[in-house]
Amino acid sequence: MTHVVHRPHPHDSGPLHVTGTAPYVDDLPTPANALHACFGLAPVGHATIDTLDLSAVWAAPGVVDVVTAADIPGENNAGPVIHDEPLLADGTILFPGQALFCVFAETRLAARKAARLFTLESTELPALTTVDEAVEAHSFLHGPLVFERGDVSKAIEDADYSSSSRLYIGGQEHFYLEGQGSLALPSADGLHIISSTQHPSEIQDLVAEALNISAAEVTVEVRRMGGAFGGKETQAAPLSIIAALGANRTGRAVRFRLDRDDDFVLTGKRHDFRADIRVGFDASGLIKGVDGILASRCGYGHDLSRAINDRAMFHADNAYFYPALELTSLRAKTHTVSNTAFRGFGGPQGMMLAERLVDKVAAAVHRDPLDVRLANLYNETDRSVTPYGMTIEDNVLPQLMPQLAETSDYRARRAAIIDANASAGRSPVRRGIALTPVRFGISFTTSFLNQAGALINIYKDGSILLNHGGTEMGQGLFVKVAQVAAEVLGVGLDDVKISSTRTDKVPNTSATAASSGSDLNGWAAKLAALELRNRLTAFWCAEQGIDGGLTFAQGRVSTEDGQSWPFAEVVRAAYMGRVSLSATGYYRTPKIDWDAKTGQGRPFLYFAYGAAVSEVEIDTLTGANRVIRADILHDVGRSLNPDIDHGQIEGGFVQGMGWLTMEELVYSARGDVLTHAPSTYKIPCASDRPDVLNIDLFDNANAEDTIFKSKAVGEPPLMLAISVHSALAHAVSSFSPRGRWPDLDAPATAEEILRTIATERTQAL
Amino acid sequence: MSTVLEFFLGGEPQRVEGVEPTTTLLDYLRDDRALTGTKEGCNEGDCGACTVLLGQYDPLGEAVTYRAVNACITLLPAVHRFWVVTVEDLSNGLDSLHPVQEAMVRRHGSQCGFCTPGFVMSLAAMHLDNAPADQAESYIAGNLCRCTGYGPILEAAKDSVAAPKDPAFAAKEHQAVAWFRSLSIDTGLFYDVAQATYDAPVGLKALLQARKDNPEAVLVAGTTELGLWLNKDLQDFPKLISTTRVPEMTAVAFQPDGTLVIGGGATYEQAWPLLRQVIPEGQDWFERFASKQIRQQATIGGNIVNASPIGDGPPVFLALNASVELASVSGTRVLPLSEFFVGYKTTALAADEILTAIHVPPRENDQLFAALKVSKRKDQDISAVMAVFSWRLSEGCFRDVRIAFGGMSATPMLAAFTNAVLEGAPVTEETAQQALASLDDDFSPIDDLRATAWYRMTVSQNLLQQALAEAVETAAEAAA
Repeated sequence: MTHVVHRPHPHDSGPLHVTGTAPYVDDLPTPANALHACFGLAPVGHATIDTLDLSAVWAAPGVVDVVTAADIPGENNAGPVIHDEPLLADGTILFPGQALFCVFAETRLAARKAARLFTLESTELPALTTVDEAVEAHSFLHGPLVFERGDVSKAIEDADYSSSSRLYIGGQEHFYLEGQGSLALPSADGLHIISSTQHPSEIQDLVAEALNISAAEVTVEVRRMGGAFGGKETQAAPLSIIAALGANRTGRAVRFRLDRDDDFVLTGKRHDFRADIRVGFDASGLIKGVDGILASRCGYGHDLSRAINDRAMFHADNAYFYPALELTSLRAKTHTVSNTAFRGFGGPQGMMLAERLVDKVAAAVHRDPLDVRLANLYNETDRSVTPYGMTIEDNVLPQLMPQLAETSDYRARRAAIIDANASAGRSPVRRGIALTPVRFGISFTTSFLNQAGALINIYKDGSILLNHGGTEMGQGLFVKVAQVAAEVLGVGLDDVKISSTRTDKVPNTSATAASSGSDLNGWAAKLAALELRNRLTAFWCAEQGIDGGLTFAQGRVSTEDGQSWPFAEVVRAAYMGRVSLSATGYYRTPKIDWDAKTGQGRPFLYFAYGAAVSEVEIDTLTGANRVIRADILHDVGRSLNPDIDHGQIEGGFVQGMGWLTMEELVYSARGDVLTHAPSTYKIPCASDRPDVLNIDLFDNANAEDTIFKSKAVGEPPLMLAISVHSALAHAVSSFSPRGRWPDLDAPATAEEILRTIATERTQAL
Repeated sequence: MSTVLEFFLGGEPQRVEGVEPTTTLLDYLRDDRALTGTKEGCNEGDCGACTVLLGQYDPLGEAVTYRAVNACITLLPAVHRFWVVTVEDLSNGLDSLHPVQEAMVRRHGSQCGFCTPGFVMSLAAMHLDNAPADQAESYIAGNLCRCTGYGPILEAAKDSVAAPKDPAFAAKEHQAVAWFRSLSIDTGLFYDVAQATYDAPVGLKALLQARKDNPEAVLVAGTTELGLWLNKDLQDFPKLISTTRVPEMTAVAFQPDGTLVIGGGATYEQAWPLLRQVIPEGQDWFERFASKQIRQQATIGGNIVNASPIGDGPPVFLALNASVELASVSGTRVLPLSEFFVGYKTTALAADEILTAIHVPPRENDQLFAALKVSKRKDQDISAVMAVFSWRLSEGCFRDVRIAFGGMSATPMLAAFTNAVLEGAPVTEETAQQALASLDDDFSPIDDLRATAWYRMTVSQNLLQQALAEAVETAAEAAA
């Protein structure tokens, strides 16, 4: 029996959040002479810089220093993997809004004003901005990834039916409520950087490389972020590097916080995709072959685009077995901001292909899409091997989906909706419903990243300080890892003190990303706690002459025969007995093995599963739409903390809904992001939440040896929102000829819905 | 006239001099007072992370009333003689949470926590207003959360409205009331720092004189637009004149003939209780107009003078056949609103004039009214199209037809051709078809980031078609 894990505990910072006393980077007190930084942004797109006159910037009130690419002592780079993303433009402007220089001034307003006073002469170069343009021009970051199995052309030709379609899937701005921010504090021992980042170790490396100093001279710290969602995995780095540079040059602390509009312009977003789909299937809707091309807009540089597009490929089958297939991934290089990680990391876009494909098939064979989905699921016998050669061993969808269909009354509601739509007459309202599954692979697909460290110190009074490499962005990682440490050491959750993530405490960490935070750091903390427990056990057994083991629970250390001592008493005795009370834990994920060259292997330790039923309503006069009801059944294994997991599921679902409905990024012809503030880029607000939202956890233990048999939960629920998009298409399909499924793109804005209705009305089969 | 800002903050009366008048309340709180609980999320009044309450004492009712506002687009001088309530004021430390804070923790209403203080303040406003639980969505429409999906926050709202008044907060209110009572009579504010001025006279005469004497000054009220020019365009505003302290400017009343006169400085929230009596069908329009924070600051006069082609207010007032009262030291004139808009963001307002009132004529009993907003998001969004229909059906014919649109042309506009086609024409399917066709003559909308021209025209036609079809049906029933 467990005492602390598998139980609901509120977020550790809840009371601090609600009282406004939880400090974020920009809330920290800083030295009175701290400087403020601001980038000067390119007012043009792809172009060569002829002259950049900064004399007015230098002369502006309050300006202390101005830096350009030439002033960077080390490498002019903010690119995490491939070093192709200059911190400051050097000779060429690669996208509209690129940072040209940075001002350091006495106040933030002075810096912002000065940063607009430059004069740029430039020569415009041809710009590719969309996926269509880049693919047409064969502009790619690197070669394609292809998954193949069997003879797909033959499989599709031999099939009873086939269908082809194209689907555009929009990008998404993270819109973390706390914009990017950093604070660099110089000292005689080196630089201390406090950043709102998911990846402190990477910032440490990039700062060291840019400044030509060693990593040991840079400490990066983060206590909490005001939201991240992948947007602070690599995108936090430029601010920290430039703040470090300013601090190094001036010897003064440097604060840097982006204005929201600059944040939209400067930082990467979710990749937008174009999916081309050709599928062959039989009269029952069983898929015979899939030929798919996924092309994405990566932007001007690599960032994490390789891994993101890899993951799109890993999920282009979602839950379905494709007997024959050819899946191709094209990574379009454009003259737009470099796109980046966003919750799901390419997976959602891949799954959109799969779900569109089954909806097409179901329409063509006149079956309930749920039946076609169930018929095409992976099984554990002859249909269990993914396109990349991994055998699925933990599939729960064959149980989970029917269970959800039952509890949500899916079939009766679908029948009622179809009837209501058929008899709607002049009423402008149509409804739609869909049940879609999620199968999301858990592990970094870049295998070496699957490692983590933790540090636990027990002090003489029995209090416990926990530190690990994971970062807290609101997802509840800190409370979950603290639960693990408390469980193992047999103390209360309140006895474990949570502390900020620091590269000088736990080094060489991976980003808190890929939903892996609690899997990796939870295990590392467990190993550190076990080490300490073992030391205490060995010492105390020797001291007390105990044979057999000790139990650590509820603040006491007990023998099997009922003797028991307070934890703190054993700790103090161990200190007096010269036992080390500090331990590190180190974990690396077992079993995984993925070869990007062959496109084969086991990239994931396990899969997280879930499904959602969404019912929507559309107004066919305006295209306005809303989700009336959603029912979710999601597999988090044996939940470490059911309340926290519930929050991740609900939040992820609504965020995914936003991506697929109202969140529309609009670009100019030369690639400027035109929707660069919440006035023009609309994320869901309270009234967009489904009127009814039922969320249940699927009763399941992780088949793999994960931390207390739990499963990762950060990303998978976002993709449950694909049910909303499918339901919207279902509503639109009430205007389609029989057998046809509408080509509704994403986001399904009101305009997109109205346009698709117009197309369907004129469409003959 | 006061030359010093006086307000109540953190349990203490404040007297401020020397802080520039264009300093936002948010920057003042965070930078000058280290009150960092109030957050900056967007710096343009769209996310609500900076929500604070402004308390005002009503001496007649002997009560403090509160409005939630966005501190990022509120200028510091605008809080003169107010109680500024920040998240720091809601509790006395972690062990004595306010009921809304307690509910937010219990319901897991925070994840990353950054938007949380803003939500807490909006929910506190709801709690203080004794609002019914079903108004929670309206109270938090101006607050964005990216983590929770809102469910836990709505639950917390439901929990907290039922909670009794917080004694700790009541004690603070008591202190504030003592301060309010200690204030001498308001004689206006002239706040002057380093050649920048914020002039807020209390009399209309003084306001008109200030306008005449300072043609270069910018007239402000809620600063929901100026806040953006300041925060985003980084413009300087050396001279500001505020209408907010002039009682005539904020008055809203019916005249004996039934005309509703809305003071040019009345906010949407101030005007709505009476305007609702004229257009009860406008409830949805009103609730979808920006957010509560904005509606409590933004004035109808400002919305009209701004002359934005996509304002939600002007098409409504065009359809209601409203007039605007324009005053200067040399006199007052009344102009039909349709003649007020001259071109893109330009109006008939003379340099020395102020829009002092909007006159909404009495409505005919049988006058249809519908205000239909089309936007990407239901709440707190700028419309792609704002369609407003008004007409009467009399003896089988359309009468007094006033169809107006926003988002369809360079200014909010009456659909002149369409109105002419309908006026006096028989209520038939044929008339409806002609009217629909004439929308093309009235408008050539543009493509922009909110919608394409195709969409704007198509939804306008669809909405008009639906409304006309209903009219035809009604007329047919009446004939039968």
